[in-house]
Amino acid sequence: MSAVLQLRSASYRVKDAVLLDQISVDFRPGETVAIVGPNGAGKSTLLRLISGDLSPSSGHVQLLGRDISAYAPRDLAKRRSVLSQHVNVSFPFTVEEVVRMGGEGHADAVSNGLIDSLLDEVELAALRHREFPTLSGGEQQRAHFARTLLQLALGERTHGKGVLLLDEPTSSLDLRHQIKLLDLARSKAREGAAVIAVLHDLNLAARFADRIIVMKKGTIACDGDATTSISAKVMADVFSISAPIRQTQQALPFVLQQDMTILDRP
Amino acid sequence: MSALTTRGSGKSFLRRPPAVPTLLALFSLLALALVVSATVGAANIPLHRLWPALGIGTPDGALIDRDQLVLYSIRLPRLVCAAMIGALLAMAGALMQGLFRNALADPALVGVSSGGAFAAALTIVISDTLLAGHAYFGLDMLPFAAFVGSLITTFALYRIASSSGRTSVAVFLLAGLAIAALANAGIGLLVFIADDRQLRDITFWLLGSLSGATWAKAAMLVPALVAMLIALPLLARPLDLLVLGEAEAFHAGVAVERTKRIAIVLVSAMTGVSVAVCGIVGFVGIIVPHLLRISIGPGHRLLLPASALLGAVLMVTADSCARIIAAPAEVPIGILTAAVGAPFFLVLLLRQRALVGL
Repeated sequence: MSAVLQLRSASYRVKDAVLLDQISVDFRPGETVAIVGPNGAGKSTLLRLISGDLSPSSGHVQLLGRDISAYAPRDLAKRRSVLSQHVNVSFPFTVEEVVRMGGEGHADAVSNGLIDSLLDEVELAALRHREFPTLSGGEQQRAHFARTLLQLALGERTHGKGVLLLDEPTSSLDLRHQIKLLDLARSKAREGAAVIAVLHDLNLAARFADRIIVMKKGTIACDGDATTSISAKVMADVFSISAPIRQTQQALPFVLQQDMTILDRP
Repeated sequence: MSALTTRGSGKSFLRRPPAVPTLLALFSLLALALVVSATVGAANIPLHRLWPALGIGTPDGALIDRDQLVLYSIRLPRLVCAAMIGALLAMAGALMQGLFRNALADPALVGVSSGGAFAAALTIVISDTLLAGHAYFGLDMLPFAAFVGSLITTFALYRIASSSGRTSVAVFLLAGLAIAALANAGIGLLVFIADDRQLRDITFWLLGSLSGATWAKAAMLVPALVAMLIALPLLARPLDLLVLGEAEAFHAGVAVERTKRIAIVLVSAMTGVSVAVCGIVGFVGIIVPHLLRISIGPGHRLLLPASALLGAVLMVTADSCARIIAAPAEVPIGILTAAVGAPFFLVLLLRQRALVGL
């Protein structure tokens, strides 16, 4: 299937620092992509280019064949949803009100049924009338995920399958909700959306993604399925870690922290 | 996060009150405040004489002419000005707090009013010295000058406190303090070089008073109020979404830059014309939106019109008190709102400590 998102020689520079260097990559509808890499490799910058937050210093970022900066914010919001890290809500909105913010531009009645089922899916139905700032960090993250999914679902009703972008979505979640969130995101891809997530945990990435993009110093070091991207060579070259690659019974690769030794950086 | 959990524990489960009854209740409160305020002052007009003087019911007695004179040329314009200024300042506060995602923002506190007052004072001195031939040029220009002064201040504050979509509360409050100090230094310099007549006009802004209210001044306030009411339905949802942060509001479909520009211009216009008419009156913009957020919720679609009504109630009441406390003399209203508002602000600051990271 043709790409929904295309980057062509996209670079991003701040003064002399090159954060992203000539990135060319396609994202297709229905696939789950994990972006991994060490700190400062450019993962979040890449996600911010794809979301339209930043414009590339050179090169192109296209959504559905059109330059992403050419979209009005409202049109863009109907085609791509973003879950950011550390969203701070400083006024006493309720959980339900925050989730409803994902339905901006739609009538309340349209959102109502969806909000009920989304709150169930992120297991926050009991807290829907709570003041948002009283929630724990993980609960807040799940509510923001429900908001993001509401936006995706409403956009897809009128504009076809969308793009779901997740920036370290599991960072404040317990194990159960890490798995639940990524499975839910994966189910959106199975329904036809392109789902792209920045992840830190390689094992979670292997479970979640059809394709893992490994970044290093603003470039793509490796782009392939889990077996290709989680290899002893990538571990050594990109993460400066030596670890044996193990396999689950389903032939998914995994690495254990217990096995790892730190390599000297060249 | 633990501090926040205890903060909300008493009212964790919320149901929002319906919009129309809430607004009707506030409207009734405003009507009551206006009627009471119309009866009190240096010249008392008790209720049984108020209605006839307003043309309702039969006139009884010889005082009707005096009552009507007091009402139509002094008290009513004053009431109308007080109500509109209360509405403008409370909405300016609510709008600014939404824009900066910070419940401690108030146009007077962070120097926006001072910026307006400085521009107004500058206009008085310049038009009097340089443009002495055009007698009315200066006074007509005052609301506009105050608006421009407020606009420059708000914009500067925004540029200083915000970087890459995030606003630091500490930087915001401290920068506001510095800007207020700078504007006040400018006012001080103007006081220093002004002659006696200019000095009297300038002193008026430093205290904040409604005693000079006229129908003409009330008319100056109308455009800002109308502009805000027109923008309100367009601005309410984007302001709600801005609470998530600028990047997140953009992700959800808000034209962030446009929303910010409109909000900055409206805050400046509302603050500027208020300053031009009655000088610097602080804390209305903090007290009113805060009380409403905890009672009816932070959604701007209801918060902004409710702020206008409650702000009007507060200002009309404060003005009545200003006339009664030391009658027949008047206490400047800015002193009253500061005496109530400053302790309120401190309580708010202590409760929000965890939230703002101070």
